[in-house]
Amino acid sequence: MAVYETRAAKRYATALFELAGARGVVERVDEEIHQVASILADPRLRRFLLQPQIPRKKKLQLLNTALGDGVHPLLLSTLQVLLRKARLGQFAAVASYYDLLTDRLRGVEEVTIITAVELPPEDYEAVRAKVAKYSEYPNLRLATKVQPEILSGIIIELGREKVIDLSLRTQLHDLKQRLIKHRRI
Amino acid sequence: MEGVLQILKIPELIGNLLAFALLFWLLKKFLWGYILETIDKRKRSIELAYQEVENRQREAEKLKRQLEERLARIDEEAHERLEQAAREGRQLAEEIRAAAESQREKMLIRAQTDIAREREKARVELNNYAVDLAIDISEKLLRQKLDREEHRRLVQALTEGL
Repeated sequence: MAVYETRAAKRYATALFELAGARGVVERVDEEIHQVASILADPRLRRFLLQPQIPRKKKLQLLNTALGDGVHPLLLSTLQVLLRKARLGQFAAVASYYDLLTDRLRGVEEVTIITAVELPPEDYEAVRAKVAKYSEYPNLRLATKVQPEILSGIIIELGREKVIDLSLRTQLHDLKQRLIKHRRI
Repeated sequence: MEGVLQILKIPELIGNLLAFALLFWLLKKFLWGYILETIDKRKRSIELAYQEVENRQREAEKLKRQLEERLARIDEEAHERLEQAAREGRQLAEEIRAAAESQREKMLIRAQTDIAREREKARVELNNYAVDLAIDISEKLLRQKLDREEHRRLVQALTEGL
């Protein structure tokens, strides 16, 4: 996960998730939060919203005008609070953690498979099937990434905390560490 | 006989004898004791002087012996001091030699340690350089040689044990 989820982002995401849960709109908010995150990722909009010289009132007006009718009031309120607390820059992290909480609710965990070249879909599926036993959740959502710098092999990220690194880059690095003699004098 | 008597003139002779006897008596009476006493005094004085000379001579001899003994002692002491100085000199020379030897050994050990450390450092650097080179070459070869199918087989092999 590329987004660093700060403690504050987790707090906001948890609060939003609990409120959405109480109103039975977890799924809706989950869909919308991703849409909003992608809208706010636009560099021009982001610059405008994060520019301290622009009055907060104008930023709120923009948010209300652009999103007012399109998103659930809970989500809009969260955005407004973030704006007031000067934490709108962490919205992507809030969305990411909200996603995690929603996945947990659904019994889903994300498995990210990183390889040096793209593999046929059946190979990804085979790996997903093999790592399913390491997950606490019944369903695994598959995500794939291609990173040539790992040379070859595979890196499997299961959820936020488990990583199985079977890349050649790491193996070569480990070999190098074993072979390199540290100066003893 | 008569002629002899005439020659001798008896009365004169008697008078002379009487005069001599008187003189002798007077001498004995008034001078003898004094003469004897003077002689005796002189004799004692000479004896004392002689004794004094002897004493002085003895003392001189004694002093001479003492001086000789002292000289002998001085010689002995001087000899002993020279010996002591020589011993101290030898000891000092030995200490200087030992210190120099110790210093030389320390320098030698330090130099050997420095050499060993530099050698080890060079060896480690060479080893690390060789490792870096080997890993770099391996990476390049892997990038060049592995095709998609080999990547796939490698992933399958690596995930087999999961």
